[in-house]
Amino acid sequence: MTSTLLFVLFGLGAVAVAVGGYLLEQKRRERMLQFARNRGWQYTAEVPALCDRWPGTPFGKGDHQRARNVLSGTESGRPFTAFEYSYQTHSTDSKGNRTTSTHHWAVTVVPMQGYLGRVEVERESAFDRMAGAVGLVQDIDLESEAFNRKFRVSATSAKLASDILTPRTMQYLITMDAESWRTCGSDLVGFAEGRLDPAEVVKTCAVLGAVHAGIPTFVWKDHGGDV
Amino acid sequence: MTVVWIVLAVVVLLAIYVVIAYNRFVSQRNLVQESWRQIDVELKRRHDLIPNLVETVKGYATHEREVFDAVTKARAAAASPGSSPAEQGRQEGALGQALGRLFAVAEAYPDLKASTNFLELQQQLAETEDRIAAGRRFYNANVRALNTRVESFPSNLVASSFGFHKEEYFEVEDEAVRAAPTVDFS
Repeated sequence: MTSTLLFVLFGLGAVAVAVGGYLLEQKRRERMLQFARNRGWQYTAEVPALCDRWPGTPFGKGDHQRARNVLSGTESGRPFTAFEYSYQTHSTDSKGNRTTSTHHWAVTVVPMQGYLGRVEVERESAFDRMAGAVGLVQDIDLESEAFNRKFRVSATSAKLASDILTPRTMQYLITMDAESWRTCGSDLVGFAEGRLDPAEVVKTCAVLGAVHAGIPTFVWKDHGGDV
Repeated sequence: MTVVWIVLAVVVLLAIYVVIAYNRFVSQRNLVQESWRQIDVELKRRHDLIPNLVETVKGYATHEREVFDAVTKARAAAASPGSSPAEQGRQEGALGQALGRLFAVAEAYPDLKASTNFLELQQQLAETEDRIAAGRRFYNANVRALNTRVESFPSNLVASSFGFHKEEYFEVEDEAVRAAPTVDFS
């Protein structure tokens, strides 16, 4: 009798958690939709095609990849697309219990005026610093020590990274406490671990817009292909 | 016996470190040389633009002989081969100052300022100076990385044993070359 009661209680608890989660997610979607409307953006619940459009972090990992809560429009005079990207990874412990983890990333994409080689600027972790020191990961050092401490730079060409990351752009990225980003073909892709926050989209669009505006004219002539 | 193995392991580890450090020095030295060559190409492009620029200005401002001579002399000094980066920096600075005087002269001739040829040359020169500024940053960053390793322990031991030395920075007094590159805000 007791075990049946426990089972029923457990079942009710699980249903309550599921319903609560669903309602919270609905409420979050409504807030996002309202935010999008206020700024003249468009909101789409899910766009599967966005999952495999760009290479590199956070794409191409795990399974059950989804691109949800897609916001698009114009911000700071530039078109953008932002979405919440999620995927699942699985692990099995020594007892054979399988655990599934869902990873969430906020991705913001701003198109550029032409194609460029890959330049990636990532927030530097303590592990990155150690790995960079022993040469396990690429870390291009630029003339700003404050920038080198805060970000890890990798690129197909160190010269291209140096050309794009002008002293003004580096200072701006430090001041804005910018999230990670990379050039991806003709797009600038910003990415940060966690759920999509529309207020953060505004900031990321400003950062990516400033990075794009700061690219010297000669870089487009030397390295850039027309879109 | 154990001591022999420990000594042997230490010797092998040291040898591996020396090989890695040596190869990294070679790679850094080559990167410094390559980045200097890139600057050299841009400097040559800048020097090649100047005679045309002087001739164009001459066509409108015939009485500014002193300014033309100063630019020609400074250009000849800067274009002479075999200068070290520091020396080249001083010469480019002098050339920049002479060019500044040439552009100041051009200000007094509205027809010259409106000349398509002059405007095009001015634009090409500005773009070349942006490239030199970017090349200078890249070169100096590579020199700094090499010099830091030449001075740091224990890589300084490898550097002194194999003759790797500190390289000169390319410092330019010319504002045009020092300035931030032109950006397209469109």
